[in-house]
Amino acid sequence: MSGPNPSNCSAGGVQLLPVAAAAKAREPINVLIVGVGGQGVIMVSKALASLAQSKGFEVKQSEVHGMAKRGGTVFSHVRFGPQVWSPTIPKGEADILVALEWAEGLRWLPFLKPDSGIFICDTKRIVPPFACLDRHPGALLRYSRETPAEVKAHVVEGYAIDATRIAEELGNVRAANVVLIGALSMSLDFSAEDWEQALSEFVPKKTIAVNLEAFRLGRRWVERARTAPPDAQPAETPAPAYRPYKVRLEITPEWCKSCDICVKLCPERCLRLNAERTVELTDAAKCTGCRLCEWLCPDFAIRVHLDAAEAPGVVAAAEGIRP
Amino acid sequence: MRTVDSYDLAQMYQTLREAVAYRGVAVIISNRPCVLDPVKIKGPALAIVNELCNACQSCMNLGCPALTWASDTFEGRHQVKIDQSLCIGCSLCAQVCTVDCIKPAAMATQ
Repeated sequence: MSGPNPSNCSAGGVQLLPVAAAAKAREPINVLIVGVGGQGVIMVSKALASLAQSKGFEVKQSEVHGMAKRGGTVFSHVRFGPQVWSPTIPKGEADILVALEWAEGLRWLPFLKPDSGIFICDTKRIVPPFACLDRHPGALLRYSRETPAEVKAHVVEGYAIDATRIAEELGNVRAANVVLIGALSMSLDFSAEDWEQALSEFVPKKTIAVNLEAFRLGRRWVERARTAPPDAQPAETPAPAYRPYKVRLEITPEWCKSCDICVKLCPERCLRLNAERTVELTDAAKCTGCRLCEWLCPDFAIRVHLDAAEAPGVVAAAEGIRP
Repeated sequence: MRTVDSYDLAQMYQTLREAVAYRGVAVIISNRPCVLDPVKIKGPALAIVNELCNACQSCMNLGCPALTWASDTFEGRHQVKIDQSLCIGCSLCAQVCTVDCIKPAAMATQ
C-alpha cells in the first residue's frame, strides 16, 4: 500500500501541515471526533473513514455511543494510514480533535498531541439538565467557564467555530457537523471534491445541497481564520445581579393542620412534620427561600422572610479600600 | 392489576400508593410508548410564561433535557426556559409546575 499522494494536498502547499508530516513517517493519522447524542458524531466519522478507505488507506474506527439517545456523550476514534494496528487512539496521540459540543471538546483535550494537535470545536453549549439544578440565589451554571480564547492558548492550533449558528443561518441546524467537517477537511490531505462526494453519500438525499453549502462555509471559515484572526468572541454573560439575603421561616404552629402539602412539595426536602404533627424546618442551610411552602399553605401557617444579609455592605467597604 | 398512563403524574402516584398498600402481588402496567423508541415522538412544544415563573425550579427535578436556565431571575434565582426544539410536549413539567406557568407555546406567547 502506498502513502498519500502529495498532489492531493488541499491546503495549497503553503505550509507543511503536521498531519502531512505524520503521514510521511508512515504513522497513522488519528482523528478523534466527540460530541453528544444526536449531533452526528458517527456520521462525521463514517464519512471520514469511508473517504480514507476509498483513497487506499487502512482504516480503523471505533466508537462509543452508549447514552447517546439520552443526550449523553458520544466519541469516535478514526485512525487511517498505510498500516493501522490498534482501533483506539492513546491519550496524547490524536492529531486532530473534532468536537461538536464545547464541554465535550474540553473533556477530550488531553488526547491531543501536545506539540502538534489541532483542536476544532463548535462553541455550541449543550447544558445537561443537572448542571442547572440549583435554586440558590445567584447560582452559577455548573458548566465549563473557559472562554474559547483561553482554550486556544492551550493548544498549538485551535479553531472555535460557532458552527451551530452557521448551520442555523443556512436553515438546517443539523448541518452543524458538516460545517465542522469543512473545517476538518482543511487539515487533511483530501481534495474538496472527494469530501463533497463522500458527504453526498452519507447525508439524506434531500439535504445534500444544504450540507455541501455548510461544508464550504466550514472551509471558508478556517481559511479566513488562518489569514486573519477572527473577531473577539462575545463576552460571557455575567452571573445575574441579586441582593443577597438570609431566609427566615416564620411558622405559626397553631394554624398548621398537618396537611403535609408543604412537606411533600418542598423541592429541597427540608421540611417535616414533627411529633406534634406540625411543620418544622429540618435544615435551614438547605432552604433557598423559594416561597413554595408559603404560597401553597392553605392556612397561611408559613411565611418566608428574605432578610437582607449584612454581606453587601461589607463587600462594598472592602472594595472601597482596595488600591 | 391496574393500567395507567405514565404521563399522568397524579394517577401514577395514586396507583403506586394503592399498589404499595395492597397485600399481595400488585401489577401496574404503565401504558404509553417510549418517546425515543421505536419511533421518536414529537408533540406540540410547551413554553414558559416568564412573568408567572417564580423560579422554584420544581420542574428541574424531572431532569428533562429540554429544560434549562433562562437569563432572567426571580429574587436572584434562575427562571426556567424550555428548548422548543427538544420539548416533546409530554406535559410532565406543566403537571409539577406550582404556579401553572407552563403552557402550550401558542398560548404562552399571547
